[in-house]
Amino acid sequence: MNKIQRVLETVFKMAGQASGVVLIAIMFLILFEVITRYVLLHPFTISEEYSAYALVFIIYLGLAYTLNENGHLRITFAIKLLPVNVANWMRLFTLCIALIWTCVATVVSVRFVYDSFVRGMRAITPQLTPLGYPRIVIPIGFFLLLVGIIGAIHKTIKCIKSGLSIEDYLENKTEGNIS
Amino acid sequence: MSLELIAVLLVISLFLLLAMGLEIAFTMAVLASIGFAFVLSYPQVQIAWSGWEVTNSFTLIALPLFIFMGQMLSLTGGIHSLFSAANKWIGILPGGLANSVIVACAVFGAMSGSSIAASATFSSIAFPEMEKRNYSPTLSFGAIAVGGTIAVLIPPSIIFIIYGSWESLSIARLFAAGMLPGIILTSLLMLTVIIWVKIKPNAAPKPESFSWGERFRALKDVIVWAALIILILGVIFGGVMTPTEASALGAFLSIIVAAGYGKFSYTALKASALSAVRVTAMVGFVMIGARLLAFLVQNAGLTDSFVKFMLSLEIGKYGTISILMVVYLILGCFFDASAMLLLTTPFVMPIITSLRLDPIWWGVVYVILAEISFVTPPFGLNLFSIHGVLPQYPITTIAKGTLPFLIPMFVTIWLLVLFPQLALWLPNVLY
Repeated sequence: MNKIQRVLETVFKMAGQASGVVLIAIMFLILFEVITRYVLLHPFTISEEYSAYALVFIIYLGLAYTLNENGHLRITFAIKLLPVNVANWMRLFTLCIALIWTCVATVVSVRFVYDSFVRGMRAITPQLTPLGYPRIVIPIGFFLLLVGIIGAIHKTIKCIKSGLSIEDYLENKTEGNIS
Repeated sequence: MSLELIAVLLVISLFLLLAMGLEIAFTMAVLASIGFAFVLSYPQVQIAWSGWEVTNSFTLIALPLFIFMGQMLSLTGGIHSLFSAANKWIGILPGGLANSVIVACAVFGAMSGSSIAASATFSSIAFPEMEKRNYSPTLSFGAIAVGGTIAVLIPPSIIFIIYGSWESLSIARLFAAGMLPGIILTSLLMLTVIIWVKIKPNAAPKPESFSWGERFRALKDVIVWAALIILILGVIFGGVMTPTEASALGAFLSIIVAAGYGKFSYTALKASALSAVRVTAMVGFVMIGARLLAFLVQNAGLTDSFVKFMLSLEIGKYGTISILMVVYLILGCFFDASAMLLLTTPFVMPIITSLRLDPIWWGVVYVILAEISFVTPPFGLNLFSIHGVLPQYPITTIAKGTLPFLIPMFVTIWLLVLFPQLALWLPNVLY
């Protein structure tokens, strides 16, 4: 199972890195648009539209990576007051809630993208970009988040079995320190 | 189900799930989905629609780019030079280094826009220096914690980008609106240090004086940073570029500056980009959750009822603002500034517009309220940020230092309430 977890962590990191690459690329795209506007006097009109798509990409592909890095905002002061075992079970419960919601989000976003293609939806821009393509990243992002939550559930179960605090583990995260 | 019952159930479930440790974004999204199913009988595909609408934003791309810029500039190690230059110019005032921290934080804020980053950075740089020179720990912690908060008011502010993008307001106008209040707040915080040292002379050693030659030499060390900040703000306020375009320019130039300082590497680039991705994904997810919750409360009629209730109290503009201030100060003890903003905006903005208050002005007031929440015990994020760097000092000592600084913060808010032009004058002149 540890091997699977390592593979998953690599996948999340790759997703985060892909978002980072897109961020750098978009920086150059926006700058290129500014240059074409002021120097060539012919603005490169696609940058605004594609930068917005890039943000969708960054956010959705970053969801699982951020979860894996314990980067999503949570309020933990109350559960830290509880005994470790109760807090661990509480975390398991909340992760299950998150899992159910993310399942729903993944399914409906697949439907959303499917509808975008079937209905031939296009952006109201000069490029008339088919919206199905940039939207594909939404179900992919939610699916990766789903896998990330399953990974988090696995870690929490390990903590419950070993009696370690999942909160302490997340705060001082070092790979593979739950045995 | 009556509206009152829905509202009560919603609030109870919200706080229950948050207290149980569920992520803020999930909490809002889960409750919204339950509401879609049982209150609105609305299809869950709204999750994908709202997710697309919120994230497909050219304005919001400024968020990761400015974070990237701040991260890259932090790597140049120029913060030491910044602190040193501030001390050479401000150190002559009573409470020298404490005032220098506040000014250096304000300038650092113009690069990073992050309060927590500012307080963590200056905890490691300024505090050892202040400790060595016998500054009282409470004064040092107070100056570092509140100095960090200025970062979110001085442009480019991350909160302004989120607020502007959410409410479809001009980010450039918001940036301009934050300038004068930022300068006023910085001045009042410095005045507080001076009064503190006058009342308790043991809190700080005698101020140092520096020759003009030393001062100008120190300026030379930070000239690149200063030029970058002036350029970024200049192109925004001058109408040459949109804030998003300026953020791309800033991100690009930060790479050049880092390379110029010999600090650019693939590792630094990767770390900065990943840091920007993490914060953007976190904020983006909270925005999706908040948009879903906003959709629920608006379509269930809760927003209208809440606004009618608030207006029926007939307490006027000042009474309503006072209530909002109290609510935000309480919420600020538990929530991050961006989460608090997104969670409450669906309820608060209709009240603001009903009272014919300017949303740009409200953005500035909100940011200062959020700043207060960063430094108020028991859960002020800056306090924990400093405690994280200096764990040998209890959080109570750190919190004690911030209390006197709450006075200038409240004074600034009331100055803004009584004289909204303090925030609105500059954007009205520029745009």
